[in-house]
Amino acid sequence: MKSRRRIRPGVIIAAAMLGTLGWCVTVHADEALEYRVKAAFLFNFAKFVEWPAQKFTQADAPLIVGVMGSALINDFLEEAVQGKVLNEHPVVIKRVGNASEGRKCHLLFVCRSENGRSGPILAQVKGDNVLTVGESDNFVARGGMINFVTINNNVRFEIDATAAQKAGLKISSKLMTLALPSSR
Amino acid sequence: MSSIRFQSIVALCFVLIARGVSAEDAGAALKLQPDLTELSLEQLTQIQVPSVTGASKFEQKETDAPSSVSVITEGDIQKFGYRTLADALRSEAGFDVSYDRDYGYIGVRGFNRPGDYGGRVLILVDGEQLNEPIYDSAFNMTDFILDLDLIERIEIIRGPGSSIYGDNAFFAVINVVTKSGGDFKNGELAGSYGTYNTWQERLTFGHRFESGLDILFSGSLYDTDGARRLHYKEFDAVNHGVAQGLDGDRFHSFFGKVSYGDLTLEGAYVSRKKDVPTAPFGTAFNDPGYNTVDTRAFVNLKYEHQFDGFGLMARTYYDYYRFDGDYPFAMIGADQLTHIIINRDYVPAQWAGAELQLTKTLFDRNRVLLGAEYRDTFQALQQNYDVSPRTTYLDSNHPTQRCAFYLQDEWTLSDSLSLNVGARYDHFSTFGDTFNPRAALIYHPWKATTVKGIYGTAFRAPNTNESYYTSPTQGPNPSLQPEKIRTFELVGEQQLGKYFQASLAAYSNRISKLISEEDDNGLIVFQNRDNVSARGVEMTLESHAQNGLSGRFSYTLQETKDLATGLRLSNSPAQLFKLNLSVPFYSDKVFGDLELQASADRRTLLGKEAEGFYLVNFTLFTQRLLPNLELSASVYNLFNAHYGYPGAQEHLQDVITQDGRMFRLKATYSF
Repeated sequence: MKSRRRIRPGVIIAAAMLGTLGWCVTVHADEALEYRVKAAFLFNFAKFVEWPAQKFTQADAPLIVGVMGSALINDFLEEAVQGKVLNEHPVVIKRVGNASEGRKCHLLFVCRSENGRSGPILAQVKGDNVLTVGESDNFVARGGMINFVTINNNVRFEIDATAAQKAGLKISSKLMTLALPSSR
Repeated sequence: MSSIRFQSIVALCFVLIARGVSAEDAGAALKLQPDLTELSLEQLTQIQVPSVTGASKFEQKETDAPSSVSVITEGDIQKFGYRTLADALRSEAGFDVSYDRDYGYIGVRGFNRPGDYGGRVLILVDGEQLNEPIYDSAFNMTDFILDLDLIERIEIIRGPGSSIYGDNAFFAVINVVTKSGGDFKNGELAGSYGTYNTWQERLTFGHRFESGLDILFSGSLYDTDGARRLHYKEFDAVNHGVAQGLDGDRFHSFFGKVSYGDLTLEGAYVSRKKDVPTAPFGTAFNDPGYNTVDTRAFVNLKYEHQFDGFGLMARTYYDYYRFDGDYPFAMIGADQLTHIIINRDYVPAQWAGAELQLTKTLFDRNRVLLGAEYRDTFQALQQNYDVSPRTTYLDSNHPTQRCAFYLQDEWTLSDSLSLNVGARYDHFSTFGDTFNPRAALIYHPWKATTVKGIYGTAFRAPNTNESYYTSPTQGPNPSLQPEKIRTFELVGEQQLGKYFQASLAAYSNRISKLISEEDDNGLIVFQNRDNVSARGVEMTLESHAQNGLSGRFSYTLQETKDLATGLRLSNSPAQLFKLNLSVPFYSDKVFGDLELQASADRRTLLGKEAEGFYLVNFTLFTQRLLPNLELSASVYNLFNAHYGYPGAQEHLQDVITQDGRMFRLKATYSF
């Protein structure tokens, strides 16, 4: 009569070692991927938008990307912009908690968790040439300029060109062609 | 399993991992995460980011869903050579699919009683419920309505789902999402050949036009001889216990989907015939007369639109199910000779319904979902008769109706805490009302960690077969009540460094009013009578590499107990272990994919043990090596393990042995 086959603890330990061993160092989890992609998009938006001259105090003043909300995208942005310079402006990432900090930014990203508080902030940064980017259903309806939308597992974005124009920003046609049609 | 076999598996894994690790080497250190800012905007829009739609009917990222969720992608299906939905589910933590040579039965978290028809798992295809009203079956093998190649992803949502989905969402909801025409250039032709003369062919046409019109049409055929000689020692008196050439299986299926703008029209059909070699229910052994035919079809029309301020989804559906069963009974006639009398089941059912859903964000912090559903099962006919001489034992039709309202609120309390609360009220014309709430608190204490605390209840309504089937040996019970489950679950998900994702789920289920057969003076009647507790822990570890190396490993400890007897349930292994490893051998073109599944012993109905077993599957998969061609070669049960699942009451066999080593070759050509 064969002996009972319980899974011996040794098997589990060996398998666990197997599982972790050799799994390549260069891996990442899926939720992180979404934010890494959005961080790369944010950097690209900065490339294809023109701010009015008065937004930069001097020729090599930093281009400030403000982040309201998730610390995760903050880290990916830091990593993405490390040492990068756009048109002589070094790119800098800042955590933003209120409107006065938001006004100083060139690009302000509002995470979906912050969407509840974004209304007043969007209103207050209106006159300050800030490119506002969000990732919630009604972001554009509240006055936001660019909104991330996930369609068929691809990260896409919609642009409210009028809002951007009113804020004194010029969006390159290249960015406009890749945006989703604004009436969805 | 012998230590030699185990050591060779370990060696195989090391070789694969070493190969995978060196695949990207250019002499220098392994590539770190590539700089995504180097990519163009167009390239960024192409990157695939997985998400989950089933958990609470919103588009939601896996870590935010109010359940323990995992996703099987189409890449997994092709790379690991999954032949059926059952194959795919067997790779999932806490899942176990047993097979009795007729149907596959999905067990979740230790619960898979032999003889149950599987109505405690809800299977959806693009939101359309597949469980039928007669037996509640959750078809997962060759009787499943879709060819696996049409699947974009499978979302497995563990835990009670009745607060949104109602009936059958007892242990888990499996949401199968199909591909779209836009996923194809113009179409695909696929063919495969495997052990036992198994052939499968598929032709698909799919295209997305400039105007946005998206169409997809596909048809598949399948045929296998099955195992030619099956030995069952319990039947040694007849033909030495050998069932010869009685394991055949065949199906044909169609799928179509047309979408334009906010409208989608979708339909599917499958008809599958299985020869059954095990001679259950006292039928004649080694007689070719026993077969079951399951036909399932649906058509649905869906409208979805995001208005200014609220979202709307409206859909209407029509479903069809038909079961035909032929059972050969040996009777001694007046002439003292044995005659075979065929007893036949003819069971057609049709139902139609509509569902409406509204979503709206209130007070900036609440995403609210409100839904209503109405369903009319206007045909649920059960007929049973002897073919010749014609004697009718049962001929009854029991139409039923149901309606339901459900409400769910996803409340963002702070940037790290959200509460997902919901409840559903169902009214059934058969038994009345049931109310099922669910609450989940989702907390991100720091960026890479998620903790979820979940409480919920779910139900399974008594089906037409349990309530109304009548025969000389079985009596009806129209006053059956729904089964109930109450679940507490705690889930922790953690990103380990930037490379691994681990999760730990601990659950406690209390199941009551289980519908079981009871012997009432020689007459079998279904009663609400059993109470079961099920508790366990599921540990999983997952990672994905840039070069395509990926892996998933899970270990579950599960304990089930019948509260009346204090005994562990039958067919409930105490431990399950699974490992999936996908290794790129050459760029993103050639992959070696290994699967290892192990199960502890299971109790059978006779109180004996079906011994624990290890299964190893391996697939070599290639894509883009030759233009437009995908090729794969798979070996299943590589080490030819001898194993079986416990039989049910209707089987004389205590354990039903499963297949040994099998192989499959598959080619897919896209045009």
